[in-house]
Amino acid sequence: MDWITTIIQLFIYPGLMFIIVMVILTQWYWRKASARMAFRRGPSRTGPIGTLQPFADFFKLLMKEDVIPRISSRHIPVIAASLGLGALIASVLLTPIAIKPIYAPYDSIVLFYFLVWSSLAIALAVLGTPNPYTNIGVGRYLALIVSAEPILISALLVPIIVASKYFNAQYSFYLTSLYSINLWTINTPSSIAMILALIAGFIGLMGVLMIKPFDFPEAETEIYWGIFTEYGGPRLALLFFIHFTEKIILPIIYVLLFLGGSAPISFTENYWLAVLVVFAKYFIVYTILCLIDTMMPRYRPDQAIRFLWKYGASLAVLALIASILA
Amino acid sequence: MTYSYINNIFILVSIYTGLMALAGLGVYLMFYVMFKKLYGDKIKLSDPVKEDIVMCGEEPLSEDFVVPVSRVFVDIMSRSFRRAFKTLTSAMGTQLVRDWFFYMFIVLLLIIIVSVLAR
Repeated sequence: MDWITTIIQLFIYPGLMFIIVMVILTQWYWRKASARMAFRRGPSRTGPIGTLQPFADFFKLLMKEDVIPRISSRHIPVIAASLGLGALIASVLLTPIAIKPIYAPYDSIVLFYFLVWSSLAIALAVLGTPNPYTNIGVGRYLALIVSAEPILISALLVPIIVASKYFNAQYSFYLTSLYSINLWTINTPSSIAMILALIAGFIGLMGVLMIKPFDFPEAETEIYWGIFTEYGGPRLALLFFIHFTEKIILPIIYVLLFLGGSAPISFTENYWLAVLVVFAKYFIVYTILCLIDTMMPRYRPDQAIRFLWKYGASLAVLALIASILA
Repeated sequence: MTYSYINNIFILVSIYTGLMALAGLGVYLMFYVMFKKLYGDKIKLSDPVKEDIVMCGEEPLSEDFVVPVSRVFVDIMSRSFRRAFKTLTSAMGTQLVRDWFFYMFIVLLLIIIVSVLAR
């Protein structure tokens, strides 16, 4: 393994620096698109057509004073948030988007461990403050991730199981993402499994990303600002950074496993064109998420959890059974 | 396109955990320590009010500080599955549904069932 290339990948492309650029771009796009749907102009002052507004907002938060409430934990929130971001950044090296991916048989375990860790990092970071609004938000957030994460992970397991059966992918996420376009047409049970997993995966994705109607942990105007209530300045910047990075990494994983990845271009044929195809598909998924978030009202926590278990979990379990039988 | 193939999942987990820690350290130093030293510390103003917790203008009382997260979690779950919760709590009491090990035990059981089926 080439350590210098790995470090460059981790910190520059497709790691930290690239993710910062993507966060700025995607946040600008999200804000502009949702503003247009509400007949507003959206960001328009900083940079060409407001593209640098998220950059200005992020650095404004970083340059503020770090205010820590009197009886809050000082170091745990920052350490948890940094490690959560580290997990998301490192997980990109498992995907074919990396210039030199590092993979192994059963590497999907590492991916799932990182995805769960990034969600838990948010919970751990916000548990460091004693605010009642925050605590209600954390209770809601834990109920959400206990319900949505198993759905998402079960749905992501389906293509991995099918690819391991028919293409000897060895339960590797990286190898599965290279064969994912072929998984739809192997036989009828595998097609059924993929369709069910596609729907369950999208429901799980919306839950984990707190897209409306599943945004009840932050529920502004209801529980003040929920999990983010007590934070401002650099701590809030780090928490936002995790949340926005999740909005990049999770849809990319979804595209790689369910929407054929770089198909019709192969990563071995033309790497940069294949990356462009993946990001084009990613922006379609991202736009759909933005549309849903802008148009939907918010569920009550019990309604959301019931929906996730009733439809999301049952579809994910059916998809898993179909993939095992395929 | 090149790649690094590691033949052992345990080595891969160690490599990725190291990379996660390294990236986390980079984020911590770049976006927390550096900005704090360059800007945050220079504009520090001591004011006891801003160290109080946010209570929407109400006076923060010490009894407000502790809202048990597990009670919120259990409350949401019990409202979501009223009938199942009623059956469970009438048969086994409320202790079980407040126990995190119970939920983890269910997850573990599901993992074992799936792995046995997928064998």
